[in-house]
Amino acid sequence: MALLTVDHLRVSFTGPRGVARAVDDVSFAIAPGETLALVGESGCGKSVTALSLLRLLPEAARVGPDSRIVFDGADVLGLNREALRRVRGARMAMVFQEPMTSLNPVLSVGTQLAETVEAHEAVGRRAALARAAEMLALVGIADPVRVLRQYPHELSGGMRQRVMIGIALICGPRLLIADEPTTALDVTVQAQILDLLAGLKERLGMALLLITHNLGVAAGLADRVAVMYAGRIVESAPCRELFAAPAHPYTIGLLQAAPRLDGPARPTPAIPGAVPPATAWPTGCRFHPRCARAWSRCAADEPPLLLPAPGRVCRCWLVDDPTGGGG
Amino acid sequence: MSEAPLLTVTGLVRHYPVDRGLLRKPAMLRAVDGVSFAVARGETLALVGESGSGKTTVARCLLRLTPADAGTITYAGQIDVRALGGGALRAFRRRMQMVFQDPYGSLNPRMRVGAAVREPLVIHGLARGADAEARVAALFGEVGLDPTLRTSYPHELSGGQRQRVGIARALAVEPEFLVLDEPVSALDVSVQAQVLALLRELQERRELTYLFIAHDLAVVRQMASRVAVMYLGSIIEEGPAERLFAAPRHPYTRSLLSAVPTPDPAAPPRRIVLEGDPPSPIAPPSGCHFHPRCPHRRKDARCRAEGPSLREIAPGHAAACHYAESDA
Amino acid sequence: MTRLRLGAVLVGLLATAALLAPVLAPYSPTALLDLDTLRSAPPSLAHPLGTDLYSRDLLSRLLYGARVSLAIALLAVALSVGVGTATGLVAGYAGGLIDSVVMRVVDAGLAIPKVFVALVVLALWDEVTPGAIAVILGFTGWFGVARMVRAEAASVREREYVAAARVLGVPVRRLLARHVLPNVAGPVIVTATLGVGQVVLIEAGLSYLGVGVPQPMPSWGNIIADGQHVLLAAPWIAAGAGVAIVLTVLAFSVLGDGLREHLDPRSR
Repeated sequence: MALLTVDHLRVSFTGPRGVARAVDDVSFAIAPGETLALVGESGCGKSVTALSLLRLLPEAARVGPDSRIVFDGADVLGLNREALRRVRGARMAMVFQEPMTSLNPVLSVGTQLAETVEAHEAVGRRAALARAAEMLALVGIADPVRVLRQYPHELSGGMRQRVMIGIALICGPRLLIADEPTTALDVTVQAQILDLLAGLKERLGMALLLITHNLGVAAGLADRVAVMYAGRIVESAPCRELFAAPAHPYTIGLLQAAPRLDGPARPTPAIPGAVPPATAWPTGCRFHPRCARAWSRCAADEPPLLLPAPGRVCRCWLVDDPTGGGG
Repeated sequence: MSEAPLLTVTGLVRHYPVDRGLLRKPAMLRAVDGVSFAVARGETLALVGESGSGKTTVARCLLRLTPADAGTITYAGQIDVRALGGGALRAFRRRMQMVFQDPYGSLNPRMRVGAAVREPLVIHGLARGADAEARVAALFGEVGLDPTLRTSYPHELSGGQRQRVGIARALAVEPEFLVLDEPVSALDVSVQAQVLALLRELQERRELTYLFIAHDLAVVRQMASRVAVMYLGSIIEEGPAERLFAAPRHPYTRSLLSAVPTPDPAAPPRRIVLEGDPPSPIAPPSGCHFHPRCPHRRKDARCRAEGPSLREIAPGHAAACHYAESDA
Repeated sequence: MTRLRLGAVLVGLLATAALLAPVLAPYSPTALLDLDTLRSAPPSLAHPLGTDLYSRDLLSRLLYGARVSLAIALLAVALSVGVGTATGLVAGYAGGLIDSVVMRVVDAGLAIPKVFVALVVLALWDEVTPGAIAVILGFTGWFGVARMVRAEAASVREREYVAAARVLGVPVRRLLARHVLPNVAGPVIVTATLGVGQVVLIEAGLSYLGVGVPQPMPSWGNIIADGQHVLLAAPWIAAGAGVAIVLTVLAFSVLGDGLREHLDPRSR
């Protein structure tokens, strides 16, 4: 049984320019111990999706009435305050992009770690601190006892991110959501953190929902990858298959546009145009204005998720008609 | 190549005093600690490094945004950039310009983007009134922006559009040399590729010389003819781009390259993961600054004691490592 | 209705009342209408707000008082904002020695209790005019503005668009005027607006104490002073002016808050 199931998630915001349908019918599932990477550029809705799983959306957000999020058998959207509190941090946890602003600058590292333990388990401060020290060691911090007493500003970016991961994992959640966990870090530190996450996944057996715009990061960690564009999932496949044989033109474009260190040093082709605003998604296929292979059907009808192969979905008419309208 | 380099930098130093409280003497943050390089006309030199490497400080010194403490910066063989003042400095601004990293932060939020691009024309007396407007419209077209966007404010534009405005603004004075400080780091992948293509096109059309500052090696690979890698205020390796990427000689460069995640799940996993965090520029390690994190098998006491100098390993390719000749 | 709109409407009403005082006031504010029968008369149809001890129509006095009080407040604020902004901009942008010296002067200025200073100066002055009051309040009030502007300017100085302007070769004067000032303007406008309300209060206090606007020129402060002695017998004298002050300060506060809300998120 899936650990997390998201069905028809819709999140919208009403602003001065109209209704922004940031997440517009997103469905996916994560099995226990599985890593799913949600990949996309800014404005695609991936961060909003992640926030809705823990009901961390701002006041102004409206979740669609048909949306369902089921985590470990419980209907997340329907939980009362107390039940939700028990889920957050203990069973489902989140790591954010900016460790400096996600850690409380006036509390020591030890206090923040112990706080999480005490909030969910009936242990005293001393036991909680002992757990905290163990956790710091687990996330690769040398000299954990000293770091327990330090404050966030005394730590480097990499260490702060490790602390954040420690706080997220200290109560042994079954699902960790990581929202761009390495984007704000230097590339050598990023490599360390990615290795850490891979190691922790193995050791603790937790599932991981990795939100990223970096295809390389996704390739390194994910079992399955879902690509988002304009508030919807446009392609989803097992990791190797997606990179070896992408089906959706947007995925293909992203892979081609990404600068790489391997292969010949050719300049990479760009995807023409820009991401449309969430208040005005194009009619028909949302990607069609930028797609080199679009034809009349694409402008007229929005494709549903089609099945190019078992275990893969792709929101593109090319799956039905590979000739692309006979052109 | 018989022609002298367009820009020559020798022994550039920039230290910042750092407050350590009432009673202690301020510590010295060695942001740039003796950097030398040259950029030939028409080429693109990439200055690569992570945070704390000093690359942005180098850029700020070149453009006189911050005064260098020592060293020489020579432009076009004769101009001593550090000594420029008043009118001569103003004139120099027309030859060297900068494109900034943050597309939002580098545009005045209260100024329409057309006015921002027109401003340099006006203050340098290059054009006025209708003539200036025409030139602004032409610049917009040249960077791929619809000229009707001239009346927009920065917050009404996307990141890619704002960055194009920044480029247009830098080009308004018709410079020869552009310093590009992480020009695409803040942009999405698909937009990055567009802006990089634009930069390449502009370089060819206008015969520009670029100093391309970045932390993303994959991007650098597409743009640079030569690469200089910085660590804690010094250049630790420098050479032709292809050579450096294919056969890096300094252990830091090797780990930097190894750390870049490849969009290919079938690729072999990272071979080198550095231990520890980048050290603080205030208290750099003794001897070779990189030695505490260095994974080189031949690392020894000499590395702890003696800072290696940048020496030539092969023609045009230099590295600052005692054991640069041996592998790994 | 948003705070901004509400504040604008209220301030607009006040300004209109003040500007049109000669038209709206039924009587002259200093005319002694009838010392026999109209002293301290309660509100009636002929005198909607009653009359004061000297049989002067209170409505007219309040309207003209509005002119005086608002004029003083606006002039004083213009002065303090003008001097304070210019000083703060230069100090904040220049940094270093200039900044230190100027800020020490500002710190000293802030340490001086401005109401007491104003009191002493005005008490020793022979012929106090509203203009003099405005000037004194203006010159004792610029220090706070300077400190705030300096902090904002120092922060704006570090922004990338200022660096970009320097790299382009924009001369310092233009830099301050076109790049720093517009981005510092938000908090300045808010401070100025709230300041008007504050000065109205201070001026009322000074006039109440007898060192402000001289009789028979009406000011809300000296109207209250007049009404103080007969507070129980003829409460409408002091009450009218008191309510006017409260409403004015409230109006400017609401406007200031509204402006702050309106200006802040935009500039992000």
